[in-house]
Amino acid sequence: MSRQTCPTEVGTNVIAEIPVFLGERGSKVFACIHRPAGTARGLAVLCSSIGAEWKHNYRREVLLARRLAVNGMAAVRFHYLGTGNSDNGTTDFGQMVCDAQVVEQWAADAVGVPATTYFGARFGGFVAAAAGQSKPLVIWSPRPTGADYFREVFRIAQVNLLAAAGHEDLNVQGPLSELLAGRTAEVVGYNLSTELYRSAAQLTLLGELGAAPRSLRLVEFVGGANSEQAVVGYANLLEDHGFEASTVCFQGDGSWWLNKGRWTAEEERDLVQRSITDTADWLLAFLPGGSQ
Amino acid sequence: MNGPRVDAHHEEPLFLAAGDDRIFGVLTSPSREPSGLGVLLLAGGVYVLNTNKNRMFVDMARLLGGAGHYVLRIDYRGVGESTGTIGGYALDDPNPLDVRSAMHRLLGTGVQKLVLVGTCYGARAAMHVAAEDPELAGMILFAPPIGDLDRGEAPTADRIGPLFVDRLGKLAHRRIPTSLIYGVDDAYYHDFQQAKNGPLAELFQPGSPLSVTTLPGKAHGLERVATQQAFTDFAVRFCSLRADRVQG
Repeated sequence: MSRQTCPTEVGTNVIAEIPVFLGERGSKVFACIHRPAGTARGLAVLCSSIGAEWKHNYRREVLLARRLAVNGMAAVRFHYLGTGNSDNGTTDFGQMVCDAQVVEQWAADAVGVPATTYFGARFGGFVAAAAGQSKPLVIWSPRPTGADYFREVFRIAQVNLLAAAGHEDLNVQGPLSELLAGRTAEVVGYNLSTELYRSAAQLTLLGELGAAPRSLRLVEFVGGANSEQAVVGYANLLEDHGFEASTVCFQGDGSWWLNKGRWTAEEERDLVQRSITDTADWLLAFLPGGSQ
Repeated sequence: MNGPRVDAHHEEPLFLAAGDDRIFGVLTSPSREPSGLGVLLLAGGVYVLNTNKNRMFVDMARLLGGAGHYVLRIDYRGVGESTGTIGGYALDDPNPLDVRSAMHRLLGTGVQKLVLVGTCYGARAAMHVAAEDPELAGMILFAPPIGDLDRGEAPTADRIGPLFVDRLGKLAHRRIPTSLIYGVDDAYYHDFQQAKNGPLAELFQPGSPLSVTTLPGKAHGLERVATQQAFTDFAVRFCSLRADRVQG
């Protein structure tokens, strides 16, 4: 099947965007590579989150990939098997890491340079930490453990169920009960499989980061001083383990699961532009010769 | 829903020209003798992707492909992989260039007739653009708001949108099989019920090609997997009936 390239204008520049299905029949993974107009001097692999977070952050990751490509760093994004446009399949943590590594290898071959950096958003931070091995890494809204991550998700699911009280079937079990019973859980209309939960509930970000030293940028979108203190405290912990961790916090973004009402284009939102600029600048500094 | 379904091997990611922008889409090809029907899937607003929630449209497209139909799902401009910047999801101007471009691409596969399936904003986009299209064979409108302004709330008769009434009237007069689906607890359904018993009553007389199906609870927003599955089942059955008419 032919591959279509989209010449995309970003400001006064034009980059090439090529969406593909990778892999064997029945287990194809959707990926899209964003190539600079000239020779790529580096490659970033972007690892998304899951469920509503995947949708919430999708456009931002596209915009980040375009910003990187304009500045000489190719970027590749993808959908984990069993999610998005990819084929059906078991989505567990090991498979997600494998998907990232397969996509990285394909993209590196396509642009002729090895991957230089990784990016992960929320749950994707665990994937990027594991798949990117020692490569510099930005994580948006990192969580120290899989348990921390799922605790938030379950709380959101319960809030959503309670909000529907009087309109819905209140006999519906919470997601954790469903998962413990070996059934796929439902979180705000998204499936959460037992395979993913079982494979990720015991994860620690520290454990997935591999051996220090490794350069890290932790980006948090905070609703109050406590969350800022939490990410700074976590960065300090990582520093104690030999990692080079810096942080930046941006005020206000709400829950990535319950954010339904914003109609303002992401391109026109100050928060989005500032967070993309910070992340892109940090990643581009790892290009040979720096960002310029 | 059980039934033959295709996989990504039968799908092609593509970009379509739409004005100055390039609209991303995924075209699903049938795995058997083509039915002659093309199905365009249009997602809702606020950055809903071509996959729709919980990739409901991926599942739907692959089932429809297994049933012999070509299927296209798109990201509106400024959404997902597409270029450009999304506007305010205006119900009186719901991305018509994007929808026309997608319909043109589907017809380019050789299909004779089209069914448009839209959720919420996508339902308004479908009826806005295709109500008068000569190739239209059917339409499924999931939780369409009936006002033309803001987010389409129309709690009183004076808020019912002239554009909504116009397009629904055209579908009725052309005798295009059109199914409107709401959840019984949807705010939009309460608006619609009042309109159906008032200004829209004439369009829903016995023998009308317009029909209304209700689902339990709140359907708008597709926040329950059961709702997604019920909608998918409905769409596959609906398209099967339309294809029989095309072939017959």
